[in-house]
Amino acid sequence: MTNRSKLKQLILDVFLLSEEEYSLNLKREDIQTWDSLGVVSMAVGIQETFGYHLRPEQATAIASVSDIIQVLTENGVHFDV
Amino acid sequence: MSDQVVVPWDSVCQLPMGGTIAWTLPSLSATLSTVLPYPVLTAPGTPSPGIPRLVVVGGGSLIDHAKLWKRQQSPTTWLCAVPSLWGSGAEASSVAVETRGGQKVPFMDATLLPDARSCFPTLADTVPPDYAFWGFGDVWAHALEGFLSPLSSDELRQEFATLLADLLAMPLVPSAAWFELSARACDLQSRSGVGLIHGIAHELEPRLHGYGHARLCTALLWPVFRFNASRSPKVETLCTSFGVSMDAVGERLQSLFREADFYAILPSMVEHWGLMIRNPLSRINCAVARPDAISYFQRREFAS
Repeated sequence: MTNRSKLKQLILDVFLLSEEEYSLNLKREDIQTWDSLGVVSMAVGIQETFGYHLRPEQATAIASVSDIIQVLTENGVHFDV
Repeated sequence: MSDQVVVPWDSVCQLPMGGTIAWTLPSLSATLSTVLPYPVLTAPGTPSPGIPRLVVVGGGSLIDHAKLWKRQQSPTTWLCAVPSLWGSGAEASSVAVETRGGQKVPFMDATLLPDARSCFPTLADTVPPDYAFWGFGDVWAHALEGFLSPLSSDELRQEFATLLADLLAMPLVPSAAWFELSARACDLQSRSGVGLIHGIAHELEPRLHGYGHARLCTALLWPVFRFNASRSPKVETLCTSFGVSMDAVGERLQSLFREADFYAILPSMVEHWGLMIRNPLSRINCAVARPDAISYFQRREFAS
């Protein structure tokens, strides 16, 4: 499973979305479940899936799926183009 | 730490007769009347607003009722809470739960924390065996979920680690010491968070007759702990960092596991899993509770 697929599955599971709702352009404001609890759950899931511990300020600053990819890439997690 | 005062039981017995009332359950009324010099009011009766001091002696429901009564009807009353059972920790918490039309409605407010709490050691001998057992599980659930919560801090985790060591040293036998452990677990947990055990329990409580909060938490402790450890490396990391023996904890949780209870609730878990993973408490679990995670419990993977 590629990191891109892992991230997609994580986003679906954490924010309780269907396949059709997912896209790389997804933003926090588009997802009702990306609330403060969703931020906590996403941080837990990122550590579980990619082994990277988001600092609280990083977790709250992330506003889109592409932001997640950027933070993880900057911290050594590779995403296929 | 909270501003709550811990009052020795002897001092509770010496509160002034004038202006003090004890409020308790019918089953405890006779016992209290022999040791307290002031009037003992029995629920469902309700104290008159404005009394200077109220000593509530009972389980979590009556203590929560007294906390809400004080906030809504008698804010100047000095409230001392004395638990008749360990587990809920209502005496040490600023949360109160009211049942409205079969649904539990939680309230959280600093004014809900009783001014004082005390322990009447004799009551440890009056707890029915099943309730005592489920109460042990409830205390463990607060301590463990609070320790592992992603909302906890290192400072709090250090306090949780001390509590977990004390719990491991404590046999699963009724004793007055459980009242203090229960209050400590609840106080600490109220400053961090809970998780999937409570998320599942809160969804099942209104749906399963005969399975109260403590019984559900006890049935879920071992399976959910194993689930969390299998999904999140953080469980082992935190235990190692804070000197908590996962083996010792696991062994104790197994001794609290009653297979029949777990398998009695499993069909409802399967049916309502979608609601359970949407529960706010499940969403702050230390491992992500995903839609397919129910299969972990169905396949009994925690036992392997």
